[in-house]
Amino acid sequence: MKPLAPPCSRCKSAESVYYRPYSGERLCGQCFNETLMDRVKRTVNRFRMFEHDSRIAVGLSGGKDSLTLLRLLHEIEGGWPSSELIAVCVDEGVIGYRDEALRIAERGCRQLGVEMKTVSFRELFGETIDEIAARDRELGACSYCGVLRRRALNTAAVSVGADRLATGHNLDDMAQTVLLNVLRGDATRLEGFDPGGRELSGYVRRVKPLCEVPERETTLFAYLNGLEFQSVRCPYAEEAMRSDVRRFLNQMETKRPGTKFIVYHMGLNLASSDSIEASGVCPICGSATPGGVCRVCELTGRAEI
Amino acid sequence: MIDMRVRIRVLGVLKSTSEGVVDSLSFTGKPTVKDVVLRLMEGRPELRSVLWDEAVGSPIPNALMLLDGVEVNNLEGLGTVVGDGSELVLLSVTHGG
Repeated sequence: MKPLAPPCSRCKSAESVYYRPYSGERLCGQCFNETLMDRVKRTVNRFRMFEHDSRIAVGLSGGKDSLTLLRLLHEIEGGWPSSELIAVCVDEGVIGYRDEALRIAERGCRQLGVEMKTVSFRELFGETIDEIAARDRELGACSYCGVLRRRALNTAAVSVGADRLATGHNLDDMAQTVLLNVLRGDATRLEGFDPGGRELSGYVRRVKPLCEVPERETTLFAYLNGLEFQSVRCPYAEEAMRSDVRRFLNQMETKRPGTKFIVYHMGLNLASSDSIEASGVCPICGSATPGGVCRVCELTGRAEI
Repeated sequence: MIDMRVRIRVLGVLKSTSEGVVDSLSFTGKPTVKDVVLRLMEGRPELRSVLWDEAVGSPIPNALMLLDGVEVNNLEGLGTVVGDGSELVLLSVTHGG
């Protein structure tokens, strides 16, 4: 016997499939998709993420968030014939995990007819993340991976001539970032929190169109729209401090819906405050950085890459 | 008491922690979603570690669960009674992004 769900609170006709606890809406599949698309369009406009003729590199990991982003941008940008999408992927060299994700990314691009460019840690930094992690267990793989991956995505975006780099960061990622920086007592790192990104010399402007979409909803979108899911978990996933923060925020969101939006908005307010330091230039590689040696040079120096 | 079966589909990264999960589970009486999830995790500590939040006492912070295509929070949550022949889909929210 099929369970009885209330009617959709938006179209009033179809049976709802999803309850949105932070707004009280009950939505059918079609209205869920439409409200998600509307929210992403509003976010893109609010933060002035794209021009009508932007060449957008979409950072594609093969996970549910970036596949959702690619699907949504493909539809949104379909209405702007002068704009272009190209997927950029990074192979960090996590055996078993990343190879499956790259195969999924390839299939996702093929379905939409989107070109895909892949760069690897091996070609950019000389080593894979598995090799780096095996040498430095103290710092952990995630500390290296996050920083080197950001640089690699930028290199890939530059190489395809993109003027924007869109990443699949969702509301959960944004709220986690705020809390992580609070816990580290480092407000300067929130300088780059603006989801619309900034123009920095040598960097393609990074934008985050899913920044106001909870991860539960990227997951549901992927499921309802038949996107492929990764079956392998990153072997390093539990090492990061981010995992502790994620767990805490998910518990809070379950008990007090809307918590992630509150933390995210606090991050936006902090990022626009006058207390944030101005950008400088790394004396080693010349990249823009909040000050002193950039994190990439700091980490590659530590690992003696 | 009536014997009934619930079909199970574990998708995404939960699949890699669910070795030996069968396609369906049988119950006597009227199980709830919580009963089905607890049975599914029996003898599978790896699945439990990814799925179950010990502090909240629920899988909801970590997973999206759909009963016959409807997210369980849109029904009666973990207390939703599962009917004979129903399908429960479990998806990890926190991994595979």
